[in-house]
Amino acid sequence: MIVKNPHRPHQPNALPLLNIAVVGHTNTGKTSLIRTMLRSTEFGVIEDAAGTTRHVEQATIAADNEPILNLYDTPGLEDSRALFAHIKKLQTKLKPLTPAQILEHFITHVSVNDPLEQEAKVIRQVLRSDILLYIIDVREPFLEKYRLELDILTQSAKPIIPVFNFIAEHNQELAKWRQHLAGYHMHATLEFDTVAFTFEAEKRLYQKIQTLVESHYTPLQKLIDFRAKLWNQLCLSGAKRVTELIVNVACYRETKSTQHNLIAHSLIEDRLHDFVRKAEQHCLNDLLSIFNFSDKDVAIQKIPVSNGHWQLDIFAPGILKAYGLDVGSAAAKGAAAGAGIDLMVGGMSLGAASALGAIAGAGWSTFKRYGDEIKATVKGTQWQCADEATVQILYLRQKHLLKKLMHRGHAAQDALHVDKADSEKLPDNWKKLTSTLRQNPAWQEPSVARNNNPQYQEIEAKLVGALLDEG
Amino acid sequence: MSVNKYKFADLVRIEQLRKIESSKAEELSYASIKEMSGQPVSDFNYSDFMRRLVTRANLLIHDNALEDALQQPQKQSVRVNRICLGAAAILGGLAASQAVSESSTLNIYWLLAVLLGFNTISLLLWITGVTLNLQSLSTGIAAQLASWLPYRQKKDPTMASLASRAWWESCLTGDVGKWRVSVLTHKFWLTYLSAGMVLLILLMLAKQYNFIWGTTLLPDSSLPRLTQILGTPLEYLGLTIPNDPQTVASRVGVARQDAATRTAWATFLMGALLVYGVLPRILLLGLSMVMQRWSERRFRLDLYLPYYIELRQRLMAREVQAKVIDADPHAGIKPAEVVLPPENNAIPSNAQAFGIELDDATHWPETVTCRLNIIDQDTHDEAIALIKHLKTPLLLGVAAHRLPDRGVQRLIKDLVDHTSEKPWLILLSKPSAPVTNAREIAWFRLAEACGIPAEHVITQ
Repeated sequence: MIVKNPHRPHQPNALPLLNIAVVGHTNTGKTSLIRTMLRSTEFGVIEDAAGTTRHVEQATIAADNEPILNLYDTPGLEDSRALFAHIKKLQTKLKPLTPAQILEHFITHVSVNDPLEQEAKVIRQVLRSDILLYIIDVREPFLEKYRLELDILTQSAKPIIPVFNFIAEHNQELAKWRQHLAGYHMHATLEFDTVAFTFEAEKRLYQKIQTLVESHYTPLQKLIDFRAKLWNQLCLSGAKRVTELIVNVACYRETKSTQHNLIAHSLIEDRLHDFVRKAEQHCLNDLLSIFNFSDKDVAIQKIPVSNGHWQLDIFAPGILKAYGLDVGSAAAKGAAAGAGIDLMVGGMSLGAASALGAIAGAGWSTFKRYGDEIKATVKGTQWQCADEATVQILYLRQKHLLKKLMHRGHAAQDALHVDKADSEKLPDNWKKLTSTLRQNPAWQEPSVARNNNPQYQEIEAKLVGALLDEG
Repeated sequence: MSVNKYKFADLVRIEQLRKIESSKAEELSYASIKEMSGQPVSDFNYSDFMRRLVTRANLLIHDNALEDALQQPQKQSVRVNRICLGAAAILGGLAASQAVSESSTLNIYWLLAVLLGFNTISLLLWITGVTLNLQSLSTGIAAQLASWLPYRQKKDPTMASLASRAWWESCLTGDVGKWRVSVLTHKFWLTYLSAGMVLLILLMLAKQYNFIWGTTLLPDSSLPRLTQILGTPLEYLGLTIPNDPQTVASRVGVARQDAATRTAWATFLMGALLVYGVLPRILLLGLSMVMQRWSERRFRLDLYLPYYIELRQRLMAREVQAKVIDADPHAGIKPAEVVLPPENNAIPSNAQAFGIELDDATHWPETVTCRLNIIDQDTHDEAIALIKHLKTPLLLGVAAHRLPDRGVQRLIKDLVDHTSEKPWLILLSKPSAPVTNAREIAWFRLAEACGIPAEHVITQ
């Protein structure tokens, strides 16, 4: 059998890769778009300044290790007026040539120190590509220079897809741009915000390309399907990771003596806090790495996180209110506290799991399962576990973070303001979910037995569903 | 199809390491792991990830001399297996010898009940359990024990206890566990039956037995009928079974029995044990072994676990294949440093104001009237014509939040070049678009390039 070589060379008789040039005025987000499409924060340099990208850079997008298309990041068109004037001059000089041939003539005769050298790079790549993505910063007015850019690009006789960037909260401007482009017979436009990313927009981008380059329909469809699968997995991984955290914390319990020993009591409290903080931190790091972001991204994100640490400690006073939780609850004193479990409610009401065991030694297994509880009642010890409010905040915070990460382009520079964290909702039957978790301390650590337990599977499915539900 | 290079045993070892690393990571040495470079890949690939996990696990085990601890549970299970089979052999032998009393008669149905009866009951239970997928029935006590075991975590677990817990979890629970325990069950009963049969054969070789049967509760005809029913498949196999007269002749209390009757009964006994006991067990053992293999092959690590997510990032770092294909000839040249002068708000008197690509939302200070907003070539030409004859200072207004690109710079330079008066630049801002410091510096750099001194740049 042959192991598939992930870097196998492209077969000679196969379809050549689709070449897509990403063009536009300077600082409209060309590199950002490519970063988002690559899901990588490493590609190119992004800065809020003119001429950040000054070379043409190629990146390959693959579906399951099979290269599908090449994206080309180009320098921004900065002086389209001069370029247009120059091409006009060439046109009168070289009358019999077609517009595309004139562009060809321009790029072959430009010198290294020509002020239009950067524009020449763009045109060179445009002529080598199959399709152009023209990126538009909709916050800009539709000026003559943009009109000229479109004029010049149209001369290349390549299909152009105008891509509107920075559309979030700029609906009016977007409408104006649409109107202007319609005047240029460009109706097949696309909204793709590189900062406020949605997978749907990316999918639509590929579909638009598909309709314009029929010959690459099949590989593009493969890419779309692969990307969709990957995206679903990514979101599911994130949601599962958060669920794991919730289960981990909700199932956690700490033995405590019922005797009123203040020192011992506060020690347990500390341990509990420490445990919750660490668990949350671990989850945060995992989420970042799942979505291929670094700590830096979160800092930019304006989620209360810095250096991969939540700036707002989960036990900080006021955090309950920020998440729209009931401040009147027992935990409102400042630090959320642990809650003792009532054994009578806790232990026996949920013995459904042992129903199966009834056939083969129910008594034995029930005793093993609840033996500790029974022993504890006799001995007078109690358990301390994370209280309701703590688990709630944990859930809300993580859901919030997950949502932000799912909608963050890999090029986002502008800070997103996410103050309204109280918009997140707890899932239905939340109380029932958490109390079931509390009764099953064995579920704290992942195990095959836990994952095969139908009751656990139901809870996991509910939590994952609620986390991914964006309604 | 790609080669399945990792085996179930490898996955179990990875799981064992997961358990150990989850609580004892600080006691492990990661010296050689560090050198394991995470060769970047462009797309995630399960088998590739598995290969790396196995390599990592082997290195880690070798480094920390964990081999023995990880092997321990497997060895223990082999030992338990042997003990079980030994016990089955003894039980089978005992059962047979108990049924064969001291006398020279063999109670045929009692013997069948002892050897086949229990076997059949357990077989039925197993089949019910497997078909209804009841864990506790199909795998019996072991599954119960396993599901309870994780809960009984020691306060301070050792490497060995963690390793064996992980082994239990992956080998004795779930589908793998179901079939593994099934295999053990079938082996047990097979040994039990074989031991019984071997003992019976030995006894019958060395001694002469008369076969008898009798019943207290059942009608007299029932057991001969049963003999007929049980015997039919045996006859198909070519075995001779006792005929009716022989059966009647073997009723308890009938003294004489000829050799043919004895042989017929002996054949019937052995045949029944083989066909109703040993053969089904062998078939089910085969099935269970195949199913165990199959479920082991289907066994997948739960890659959604935090442990694997972390490793996945470390071992499978994603790489973007990118290369510069048209380089920047001026790469590495840094733009000139610009020193910001103190804030300047004084607008020169009688200045003639021109706007550069301003939108409707950008407003001039009240004292200034904009003569012309340059937005295209026509307004540009118009502005040049006006500026040529200018006798008062030239004030150019730009939207501060916008980007000073080369086109804007050329435009401003062109305007400045056409005036003999002092040129001024005003950075107009609007509340909806905040201006960053870097953007302001970029405008100062542009002013410098166009010959507008820094003290002639007005910030608002």
